[in-house]
Amino acid sequence: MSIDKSLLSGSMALMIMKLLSEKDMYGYEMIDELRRRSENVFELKAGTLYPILHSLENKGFVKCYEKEVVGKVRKYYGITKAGKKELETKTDDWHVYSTAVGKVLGIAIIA
Amino acid sequence: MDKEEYLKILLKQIQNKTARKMVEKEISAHIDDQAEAYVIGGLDESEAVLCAVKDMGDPKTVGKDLNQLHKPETPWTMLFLMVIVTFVSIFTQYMLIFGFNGCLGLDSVKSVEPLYIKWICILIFGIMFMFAAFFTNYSKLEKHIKLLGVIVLALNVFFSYVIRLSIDQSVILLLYAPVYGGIVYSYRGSEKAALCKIYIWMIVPFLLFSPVANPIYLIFLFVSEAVVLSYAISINVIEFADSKMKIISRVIMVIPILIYFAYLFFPMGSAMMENARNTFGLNNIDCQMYAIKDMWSSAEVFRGNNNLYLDRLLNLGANSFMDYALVGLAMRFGKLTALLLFVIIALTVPLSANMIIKQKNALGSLVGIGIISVISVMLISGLLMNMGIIPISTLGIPYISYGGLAVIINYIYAGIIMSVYRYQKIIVPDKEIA
Repeated sequence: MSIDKSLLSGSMALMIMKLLSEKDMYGYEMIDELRRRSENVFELKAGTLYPILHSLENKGFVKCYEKEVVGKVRKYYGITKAGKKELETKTDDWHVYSTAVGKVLGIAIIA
Repeated sequence: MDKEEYLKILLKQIQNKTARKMVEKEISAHIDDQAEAYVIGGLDESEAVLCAVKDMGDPKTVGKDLNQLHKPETPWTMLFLMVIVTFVSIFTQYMLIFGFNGCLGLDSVKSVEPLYIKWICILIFGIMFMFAAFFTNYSKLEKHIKLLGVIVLALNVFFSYVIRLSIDQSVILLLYAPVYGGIVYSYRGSEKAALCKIYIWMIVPFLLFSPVANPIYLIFLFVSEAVVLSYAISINVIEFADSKMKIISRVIMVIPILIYFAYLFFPMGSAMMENARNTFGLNNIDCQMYAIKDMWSSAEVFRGNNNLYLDRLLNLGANSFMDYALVGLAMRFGKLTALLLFVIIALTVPLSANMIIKQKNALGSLVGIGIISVISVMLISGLLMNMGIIPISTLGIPYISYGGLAVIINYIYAGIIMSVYRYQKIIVPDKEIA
């Protein structure tokens, strides 16, 4: 299933930061992981991922470094202290928002 | 569309060369990874690459999005301020060089012309160096930062010990301030052992140049190093498991300056002592500092006083005013004008600080903070010196006091600050850090 890009953009950065808070990853790994965890709901295009990642880097929420793994030099991303803080705030906001939407729609949200 | 064509269209959208190379590496690796996954899934190789490219999204849009994120920024306000600062420099020395000679009634205007032409040449060189620094992506230098540190020190050794320039030329030592920021950054992530090396980089200039350098420049350099290191500790570039270590490590770094002061003022008749006495005007404190103090206090606020000026001029010599630019301006145009021009020069500090504070790149912040510290102490001591409050006699006001290397270094500083701003969105990735 593919979802409208604008609907994704707000929450995508949040999900990427969540992934990176667990371990450092490179771009392809993130797309793969997102696809797997969302059970193919998020078929994120790489062309959408990299601008989001680079903008998170500009804001100082993630940092990157190069690492050689089995002969390939890959660019890994990791979350920074500021990124962790941002993730916490945005996750709280998301809870409030999704609970409110759930209430309006009459659906019980399991957090 | 094959991979090469895709990359070509995408990269065409990205203006900056460094950003282009980084994006190319990353996107190309991504396509390879995706293609590999498709091959494992059963596609043949060429088909896998085509599918992987298709997954990437429209190359033009992606390229434009990435360009927006990595565009070099132009610090228009700072550039505009530097134009004004340059005009202030041209004006000040014009007034001090020709104005004084005019007052003396000498038909020697022609004889001082070379001085003024030299000044204009210095400014042109300064501006050229400023733009060279501005267009150099400072973050690329990080790889070779220690080598750069050694080069700056070697240059100083050459000037001080080999061709034995006067101690005022040791101002080149101040180029070490931004380099030190980079050196501290290069030890990021590591703990105590690295701190020792950082301390060594901190005191090497003292060990090498105490006998030959102008002590005031060494002190400025130390202030800057201390601020940079302290800031690096506070933003966790140098990490400590124990917060007590943060305080201890800051206390330790004050030790070299205390030793240095002890050497300066209780030495055994060394050359260093002589340097210190000259720098702080202790050898001629009566005539120099009090003469300046007297001139500053007798200058009027709103208007100049040519008689007073002429009188003092005959006592001190015209060249003094080219250095003590503020006193010269105060007597020519009144204290208000002098201070107004000083404020214009001083504006470079808050403006630079504003650009540096917004930096997300720790390397940029450390380099910038090193520079801002030097310029700040230079401005404050320069102002106090011109008012005859502190007995320093060998220091100029940045940009406006007559001097060769000092002015060029001021411009290089401005160029580096603007480079930090310009390339803030082009962050070269680290090699793996432990």
